[in-house]
Amino acid sequence: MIEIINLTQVYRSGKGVFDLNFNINDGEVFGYLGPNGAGKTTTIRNILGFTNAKEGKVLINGKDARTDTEEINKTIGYLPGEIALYKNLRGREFLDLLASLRNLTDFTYRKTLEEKFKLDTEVFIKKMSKGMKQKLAIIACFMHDPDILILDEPTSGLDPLMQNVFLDLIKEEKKRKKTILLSSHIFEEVERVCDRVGIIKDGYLIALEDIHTLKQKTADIFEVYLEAKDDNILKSGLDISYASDNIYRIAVKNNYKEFFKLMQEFKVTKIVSFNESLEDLFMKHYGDD
Amino acid sequence: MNKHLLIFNLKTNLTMLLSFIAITLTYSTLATAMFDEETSLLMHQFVNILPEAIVNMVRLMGFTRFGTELTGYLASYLYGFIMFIFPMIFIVMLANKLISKQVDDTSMSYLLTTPNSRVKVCTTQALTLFINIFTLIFMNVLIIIAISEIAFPGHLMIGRFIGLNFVLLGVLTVISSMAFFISVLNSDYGKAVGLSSGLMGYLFIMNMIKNLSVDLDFFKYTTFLSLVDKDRIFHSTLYTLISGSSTMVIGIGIYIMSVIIFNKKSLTI
Repeated sequence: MIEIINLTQVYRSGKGVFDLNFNINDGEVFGYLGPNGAGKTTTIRNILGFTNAKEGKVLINGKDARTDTEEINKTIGYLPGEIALYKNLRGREFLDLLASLRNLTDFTYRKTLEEKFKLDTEVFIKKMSKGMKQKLAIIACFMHDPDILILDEPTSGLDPLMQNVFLDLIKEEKKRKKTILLSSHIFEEVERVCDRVGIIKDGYLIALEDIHTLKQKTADIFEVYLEAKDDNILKSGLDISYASDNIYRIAVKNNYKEFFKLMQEFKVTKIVSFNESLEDLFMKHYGDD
Repeated sequence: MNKHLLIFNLKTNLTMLLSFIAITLTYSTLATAMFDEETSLLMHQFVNILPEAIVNMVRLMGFTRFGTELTGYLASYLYGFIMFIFPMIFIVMLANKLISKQVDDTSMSYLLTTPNSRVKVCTTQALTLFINIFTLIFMNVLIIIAISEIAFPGHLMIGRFIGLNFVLLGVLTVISSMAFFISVLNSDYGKAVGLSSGLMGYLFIMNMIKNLSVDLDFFKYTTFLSLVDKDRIFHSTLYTLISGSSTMVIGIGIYIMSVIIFNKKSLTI
């Protein structure tokens, strides 16, 4: 179990995290959502014992994350948000180094992961694409089969296909009762795998929700292209805003019937759908201040 | 200390170490092979008749004592300039590569999330630096002794020559510990390189000024490099032992302090 207790860390810029309090239970996949610069990585730095908190502490399985790192790290896998690897090594050499530092001798899971992500580890890291480096970092994080996984923006750099492979891996780990913190600014990936979500904004935890509760609060957004500009659509009673020219943005949440009925009344040329952005979600449900 | 990390460090820095060994050995072997007692005596006499200004220029480069026997000759040619400047450049490069570069680019996070304490990781990095410097000096000593014994059997006073290198190793231990300390303190790689280069420059220039004239001898108190005093090393075993071991102890002390600071430091990695 990860316990974050009254955690405050302030940087010189005044940014940081302020009085954070939440737990991540054993076997739980916890989504840590927030826009860039909200304080997700700062929280993670404290979980991993990198930084000295101004106040408060983090306990992992009852041990202090800042002082008992040697013991705690036996059970932790970390995927950094910023992938900085030893560029003069081959992928295999990098993994070998980390395996030796962990006294890891069983490479079965590592091989499975290499095959799953289709990564050629003989390539020099400096020759790898961003996506390949991300895959290598993922393998480094998972290869020792840790009980706790700390994943900072794990899918950045992965193509959509590999994003799915990764999220499937998280689901598998979830079945194996791993405790996972998944930090992200993309709601969709959190929605797919997480049990519970913490939302951080400007360093403050503004919501701690069950994923189902959060899902109910989010809407699907449709951009509707009309043949010509027709502001009568704004009078329909649905949550519609004017986007530009002949394009209107409609938020649909459980009221699909009304939405489709409305579409029949206007000359629609095109509909594009996407999920409500995290920023919109914040603005709507958690205020802007 | 973690032996796997130590082996990894030694392996990955081997090319750089071999390059610096090659550079210093090129000078060392050439200087040794070029030794000629008569020429050295002529050189000694020649310098004595040169105008003061030119002699000062020569001294600035560290050639303070033109020995007429092999040991003194090597001490003048190599241990006033070559064996300072190249190891110092090597120290700046390696000390910062081992800590500040890895903190700056956040790759240190991989090492610190393995089941090894910060103290273990940092001690291993410090030991890597020391082993590299020791190897650089040791290889030079070994090759110079070998060449001297082949080309001029019995001419090199091996005990004194080793004493000279013992003091040099002590001084380089202090200097490397200071560079390591700077590397630990500064998470900004560029800043760390700048500061440690500045320190090396300062120590080197103070030593050059000290060599200029007897009147400027008090400058020897401003730089550790002046401890590599050939005359005193060759004439006093006690001086050699005290200066060599005390610098070694100070160096180890600064290394330990660096490890303590690294352990307590807040790292934004």
